[in-house]
Amino acid sequence: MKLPWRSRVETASPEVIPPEPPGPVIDIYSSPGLEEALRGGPDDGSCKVLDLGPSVADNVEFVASFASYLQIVDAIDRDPAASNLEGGGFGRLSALQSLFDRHRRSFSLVLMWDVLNYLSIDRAERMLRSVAELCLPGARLHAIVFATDTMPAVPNRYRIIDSARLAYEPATTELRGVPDLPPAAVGKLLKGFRVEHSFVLQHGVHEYVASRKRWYVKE
Amino acid sequence: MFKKDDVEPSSAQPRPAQSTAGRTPPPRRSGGAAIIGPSIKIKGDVSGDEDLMIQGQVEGKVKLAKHNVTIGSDGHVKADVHGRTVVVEGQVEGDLRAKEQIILRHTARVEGSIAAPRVTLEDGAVFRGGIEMDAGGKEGKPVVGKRADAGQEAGADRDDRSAKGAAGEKESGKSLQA
Repeated sequence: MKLPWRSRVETASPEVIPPEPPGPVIDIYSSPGLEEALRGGPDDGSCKVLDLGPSVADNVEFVASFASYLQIVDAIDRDPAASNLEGGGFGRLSALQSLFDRHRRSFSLVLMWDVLNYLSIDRAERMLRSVAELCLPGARLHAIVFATDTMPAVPNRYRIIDSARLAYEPATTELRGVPDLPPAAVGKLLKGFRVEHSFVLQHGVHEYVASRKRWYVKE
Repeated sequence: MFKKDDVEPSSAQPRPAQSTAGRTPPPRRSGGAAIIGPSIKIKGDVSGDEDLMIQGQVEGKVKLAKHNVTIGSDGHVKADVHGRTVVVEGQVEGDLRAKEQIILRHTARVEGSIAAPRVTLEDGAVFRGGIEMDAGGKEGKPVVGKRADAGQEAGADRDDRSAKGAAGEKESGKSLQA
């Protein structure tokens, strides 16, 4: 027998709580690329770090343990409306270019996680030219690139657990197709850098560690 | 990114003004600090000799090097801010400099640079800009933490850059609840 809605509300047990929809799962993975990239940095406390991702408290705390300066660019727009790759994709090039006056050739470590997958090739090239301009010769760059068929619809947040582990924090459970970025294409994009190590991880992620070329002529 | 709608309402909303007929109302204060209320807009430099809470809009410079400056959750500052401690709950476009400590609360939205002997960035705070890790001056490197009480412990045991796990290890993962 159906009760009127008021009766149904009043007789409902207060202990019955509708289950929350399942949120994105945070996974922790080993990151041999991060470990390798950290290994090459200066040890005298002069390291300046360029993080192209968003501000994450743990990452700031970790970087503070060895660096003298951290620049957080948050170069990738996390607004799904900006995700149209045909229109250039996520990306705030102007944020990088505004650093030229003060920070040209000064960074020795670049964290570039989930950037290349979310940019058009043209915009990725322009962004990496800017990054190369900002780096010292020999600077290390750590990139994470999806090598699966699908990836989160908006870029993940990455949290440094320690020097060899990262937590992947998806902002959404929605997925989208992954642009085709084989290692050769990534190497070509990283024009001012030389890929020194790459790691294919079992969860479908490709990590690259590249070093800024000593001689790099801006095109 | 920096949308006013994203900012949570402040728990320290100033109360409506009471009747002040016949006398000058005392300045409103929050924990002893002078308040720039939500409806106030200031263009120009702000300086003084007491703590300050900004819940309104300020464009210019805020110079209170010996005092505490708080940008409340309704505060919107387009200015360089210099204080003894600087706490941000609202929005700032400008450089923050403090003699003792800078705290970005989880509601903070900051675009600019930060320099202080002690920096606390709470999870959820949105920050774009540079953090000077050499701002400790004679006292050495600054302490950077993610909680207000992290200062004592942060940095002490974080330098674990020596290798953990062999490079090339494919995966070792555990999942957390989102």
